[in-house]
Amino acid sequence: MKQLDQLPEIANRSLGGLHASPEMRYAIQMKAARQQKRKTQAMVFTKIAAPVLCAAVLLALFFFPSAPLNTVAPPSITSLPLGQLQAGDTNGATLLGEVSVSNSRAAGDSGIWSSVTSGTFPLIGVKGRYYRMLSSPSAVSASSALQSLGIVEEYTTEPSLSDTGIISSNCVSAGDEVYTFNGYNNTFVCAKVNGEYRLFQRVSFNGHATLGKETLIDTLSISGHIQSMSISGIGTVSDSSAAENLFRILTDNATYESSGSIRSSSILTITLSDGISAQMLISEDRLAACGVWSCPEFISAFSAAVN
Amino acid sequence: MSESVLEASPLGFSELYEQYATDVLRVCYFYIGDRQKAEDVCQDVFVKLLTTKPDLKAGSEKAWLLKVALNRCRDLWRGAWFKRVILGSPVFELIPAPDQFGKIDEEEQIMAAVNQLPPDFKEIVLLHYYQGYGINEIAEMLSLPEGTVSSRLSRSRKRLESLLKGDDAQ
Repeated sequence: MKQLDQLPEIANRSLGGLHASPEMRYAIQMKAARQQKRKTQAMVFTKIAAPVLCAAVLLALFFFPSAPLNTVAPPSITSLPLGQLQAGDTNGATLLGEVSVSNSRAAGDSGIWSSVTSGTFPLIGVKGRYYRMLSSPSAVSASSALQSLGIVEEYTTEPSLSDTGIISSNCVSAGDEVYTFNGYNNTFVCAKVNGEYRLFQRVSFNGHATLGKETLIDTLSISGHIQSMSISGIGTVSDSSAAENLFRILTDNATYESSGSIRSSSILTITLSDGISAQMLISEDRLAACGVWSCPEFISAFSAAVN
Repeated sequence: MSESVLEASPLGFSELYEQYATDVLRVCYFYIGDRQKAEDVCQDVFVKLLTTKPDLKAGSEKAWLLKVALNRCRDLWRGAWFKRVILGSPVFELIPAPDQFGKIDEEEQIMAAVNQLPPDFKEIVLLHYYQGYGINEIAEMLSLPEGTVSSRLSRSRKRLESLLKGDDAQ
C-alpha cells in the first residue's frame, strides 16, 4: 500500500503542530529531581536513621530505664571554623568560616538562605521590607556596608509580631546599624551578627512582600552585575551576557501571584560579579523570593540556554 | 551515544530528548488519541529514563523509549476501556503545523484508518511504517514471536485496505 509507505511523511505533516517543548523538558527534569530526592530521603532513613534510632532507644532503656525522654537540649547557633572564603572583600578582610544554625535540615534544602530547626529564620525587617540572612558568604567586608538605613529598634524572637514601620530583627542586636550593601538597594542589606557583617537578601515574610508599586526588578536590583545563573538539577549559564539576557526575560515577563512562598523543587542561584549570590526558589514555572512570581518564559528560555 | 552518557550525564538526557521526544510524543498521540494523556505518557517515559538510568547499548535508546511508551499507552488504553464503552472513543484529531492548515485533508483518511486499528495492530503499524523498525526489532521491543509480528502486520495491511476502500466507495 503506497500510503502506508508514506506514513512517516504523512504523519509528520498531520501532526506537525505536536512537538516536545522546552517546557515539557523542564517539567520532566523537575519531576525526576523530586522523585530522586524522595528516594534518597527514604533510603537514608531506612538504611541509617532507623537502625541507629532503634539502637539508641534500646541502649537508653537498658542503661537508663527510668530516664525521662524530654531532656534533649534544643539546637543552638554555633560557629564552625571552616577556613577562609572570599566574597565582597575589597580590603583583604579575613572571613572566618560558616555560622551553622541548623542541625536537622540539609544545607541544600534552603540553598544559601540561612534556616533554623524551629522558629523564624534569621531576618531583619526594615520598615515593611524583610531580608533573610544568607549562609554564604559567612561574612562581608565592612567597606561594602555603605549607607545606614537606621538602627535596630527592636530585637525580638517573634518578628511576626513586630510593628512593620520599624527596624526589627531576631538576630541583630537592638541599637546596631543596618546598612545598604554595595548599592543593591532594596535587594540586600548587611548588619553585624555575632561580630561579623552578614548579608541579608530581600524575601517575603508574614504576608509582606513587595511594597507599593514595586515590581520584581525592584526587589532584585542586580541587573548589570550578573556573572552566571544556575538552576539546581538543570544546569548553569556561565556566560554573563546570556545570564543578563535571561534575567531581563524574567523581569520583563514575571507576573506577581502572591506574597507567600512555595514548596520548591529547585533553586535558582544568580552569581554576581562581586562574588555574592542571590537566590529564588522554583516550583514548576513559579519563582519565589520576595513574593511568588509566575514566569514560564524564563523557564523555557533557561532550558533552551543550557541545551 | 555510549552507555556512560545514559547512566550519568544530563547532557545525554538533553540529546535524547532533542532527538526522540517528539517522535515518542507523536506515537503516544497516535495510540491514545488524547493530547494531554500523550504528553503525560511522554513525560513519564523520560522521567523513567532519568531516574532508572537503564543500561542500554548505543543505538538502542529510541527503541527503549518507544517500548516504555507503548507499555504505558497500553495500560492507559485498557484502563479507559469502561469509559470508552459508555462514552465512545474520542475523535482522533490531526494537529498540523500552522503552515499546513488546509493542505492535509487528503491525508486524513490514512491517519484515521490507522487510528481505527485495534491497539495490538496499531502499535505494530506505528513501529514498522511510522518509525521504521524491522520485524525482528519489533518482536524484541514488544516481547513477541517474530511470527506474531509478521501476522499482525499482514492483517493490519488487509484491514487498512478494507477501511480505505470503504471510504473510497463512499
